[in-house]
Amino acid sequence: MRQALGLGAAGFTAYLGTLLVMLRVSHRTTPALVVTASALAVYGAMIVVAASLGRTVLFWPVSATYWFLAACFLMGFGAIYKSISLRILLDLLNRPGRADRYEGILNRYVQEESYQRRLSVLQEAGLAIRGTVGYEVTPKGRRLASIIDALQRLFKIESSG
Amino acid sequence: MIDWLDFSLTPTVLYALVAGSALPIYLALIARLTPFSGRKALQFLLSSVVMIVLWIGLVAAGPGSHSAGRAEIGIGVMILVAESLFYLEVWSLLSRSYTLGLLVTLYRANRPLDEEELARSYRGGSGLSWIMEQRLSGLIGAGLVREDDGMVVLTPVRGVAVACLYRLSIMVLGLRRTG
Repeated sequence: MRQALGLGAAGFTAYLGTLLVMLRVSHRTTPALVVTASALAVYGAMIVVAASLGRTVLFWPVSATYWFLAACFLMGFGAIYKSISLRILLDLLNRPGRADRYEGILNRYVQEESYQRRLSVLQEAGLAIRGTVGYEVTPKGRRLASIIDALQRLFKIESSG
Repeated sequence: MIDWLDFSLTPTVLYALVAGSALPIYLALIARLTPFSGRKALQFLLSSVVMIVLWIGLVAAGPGSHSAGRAEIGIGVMILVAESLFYLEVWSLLSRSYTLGLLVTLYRANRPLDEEELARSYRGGSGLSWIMEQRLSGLIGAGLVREDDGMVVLTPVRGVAVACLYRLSIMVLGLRRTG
C-alpha cells in the first residue's frame, strides 16, 4: 500500500514538473487546456511505467493518490488563473497607497480589461463572432450555451458570473 | 503489462466511488429545497455532507462491510475529496464563470448585441457592476480589503500577504495573463 501511495505522489510530482515546463513553452494553447491535458497524459504515462516495472501495481490506491493531489492543485490553479477577486487584489497592490476608487477598479478592470479579454476568448474559441450589428453566438457557441443553460436549470442556477 | 495492474476493489473504496460520483444528484435535489434556494455555497456544502454521511453509512453497514484499515479509509477519503473537487470545478464554472455568463447572455438574447448592450444585459440585466459588487463583498468579508470613503483599500497584513502570494504563484507558474 505504501508503495502505491508513493507511486501516486511521484506521478503528481512528475505532473508538476511537466506543467512548469509546458506552461512556459506552450504559447498557442490556453493554460487551462495545458493543465488538464497534462494531468491526463502524465497519469496515463505513470500507469504504463508502473505496470512495466514488473511488480503488482494497486490501481485504485495509486489513482486515488494521484487524482487527490491533482484535484487539489487544479482547484488552486483555477483560482490563480481566472479569479477576478485575486486580480483586484493584485491591482490594488500595484496602486499608490495600495488603494483605488471603486469606480476606478470597475471601469479599468471589470468593464474594460477583463470584459474585453473575455469577449476575445469567446471569439478565439469560435463561440461568438462580431458582426456589423454586434456580437452573436456561432452554431458551436449555441450548442455549448444550450448545454450550460440545461445544466443551470438542472441545478437551479438562475445565472452565472 | 495489464497483468501487473491489480484492479481489485475493497468495499470501502467501492462505496467511496459510488457515494462520490452521485454528488450531482444530491446537489440537484438540495437545490430544489426552498430553504436552500439561491444559497449556492450552502447547497454544495450540504451535498458534500450527504456524500460523506452516505459513505460512512455504507462502510459501516453496507453489503460486504468489514473492519477497514487506516490506509483503506485514507484511500476512500482521497477519492471523495478528488470527486468533490472535480464537481466543484464544473459547478463553479456553471455558477460563477464570467465568460460563460457572457455566452449565455448572448444565447438568451437570441439576437446580436453590441458591447454596451451585452454589458447591460449581463446576468439577466444586473450588468457588469454586479460582478464588482459581488467580488468586493467577498473580499471585504474575508478581511482582504476595506472600503474607506469611496476608496477600496488593501488591508495591510492579510490583503497584502494574499496579493503577494498570488503574484509569486503567477511567477512560479509562468502565467502571462490571469483574471
